[in-house]
Amino acid sequence: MKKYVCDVCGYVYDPAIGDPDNDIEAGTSFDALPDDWVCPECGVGKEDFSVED
Amino acid sequence: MRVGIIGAGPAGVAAAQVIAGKGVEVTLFSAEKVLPYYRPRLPELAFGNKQLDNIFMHKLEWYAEKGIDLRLDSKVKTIKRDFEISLKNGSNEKFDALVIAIGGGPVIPDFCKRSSSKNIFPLWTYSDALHIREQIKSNKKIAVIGGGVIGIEAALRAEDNDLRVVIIEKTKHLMSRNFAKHASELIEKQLRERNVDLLLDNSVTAVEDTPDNKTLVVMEHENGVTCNFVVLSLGAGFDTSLAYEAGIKTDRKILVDKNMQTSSPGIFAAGDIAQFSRPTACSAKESLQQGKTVGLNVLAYLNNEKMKIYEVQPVPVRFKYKDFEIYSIGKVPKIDDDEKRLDADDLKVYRACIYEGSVLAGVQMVGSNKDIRKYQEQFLLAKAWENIKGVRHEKGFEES
Repeated sequence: MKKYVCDVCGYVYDPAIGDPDNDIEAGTSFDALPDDWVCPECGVGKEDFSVED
Repeated sequence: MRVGIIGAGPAGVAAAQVIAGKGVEVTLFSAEKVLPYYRPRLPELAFGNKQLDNIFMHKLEWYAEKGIDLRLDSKVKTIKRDFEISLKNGSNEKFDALVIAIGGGPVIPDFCKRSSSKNIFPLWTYSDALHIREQIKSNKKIAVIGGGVIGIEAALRAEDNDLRVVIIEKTKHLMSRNFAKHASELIEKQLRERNVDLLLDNSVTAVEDTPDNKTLVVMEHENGVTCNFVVLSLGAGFDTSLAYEAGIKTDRKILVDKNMQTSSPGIFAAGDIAQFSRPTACSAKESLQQGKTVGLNVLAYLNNEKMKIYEVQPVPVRFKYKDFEIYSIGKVPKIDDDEKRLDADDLKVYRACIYEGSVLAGVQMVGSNKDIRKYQEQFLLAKAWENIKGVRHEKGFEES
């Protein structure tokens, strides 16, 4: 599964880790994140993320 | 019709994106020579291992495709209330509405202005980050002056590059404006555990280059620190002269009403330079949102339609780098406050909810940002800040 980078702050969403602080289990793909999920570092939405090269 | 947007940070670019393609010509002026980028990425650029291309908001072609006339290296010198602007190259241009989104600039203290040292670098612009990037290749020790979020991030990233780092901070505790004393102490402990030296409660009085090509930071109470270069991170200052000289109301920043319009109709301000009744922090996220609102309101202004209201909310202080995590929103607890610890016995983690009566008035986290989202939503929903001094909901200057 692909990693996604927050354009604004550089946080990397790694599906292998998920976002445990916000109840997102390891193994959750970026696409499967809820629509209202936000960057845990800077608070912007999914639309401000791009695929990590 | 033509709209001029001054400043190409997140607020300016977001506004341009909303306005472009709606039958209005958009010109976006940037004082910098590089494409618009996200400032929060600069520490990563300065201390990171790879050259970052994705720090730029969009590729050059994007602006042309959207119909945005992007002018780099084009500092706007003056504006007039009839929307005429003059550029540093001496040319003038006329618009039908303006957006001021110039953000802030680094605070440069007197000891720096007096200093002839060539080794002091703010971490504010793209070129600053590249200068630091050059410096860390050959140098071993840095001093970071100012222990805010940017200073802490610079220190942690520098340490990851095997540099010796010391943070020099004039207050007794790090981040004391945003964190309770015991939370600050935990922040300090966690930085020291990561090999970052801290010199607190100490003011820098001078920075001088030494004959052996090093730099000496002289302090009030302590022996000087010798290092190879100095990163300056003392927060933001705001130059309001562009608005002030045009007769637009200013305070610490440029004052706006609830529609983000300045005291001069058709001239708007957004992002870190815009101020509701009192100055508050503005993160990249809020800047993006304000830019979008201002974009819509510029269109409404030009078409004589009703403008949108921008709802101001408290902005958290948040930072996460690897397993170093801090978060603070709302009221900072004092000794007598009703503070409910969420991890009572955990010495490595401090998470607390601060209550006023039964209302959640603030949230603090150090060492773990677990459930940050949940508590932030609770805090925002409780709207306690509307009645709390210091975190009060800000209304536009008209109502104040």
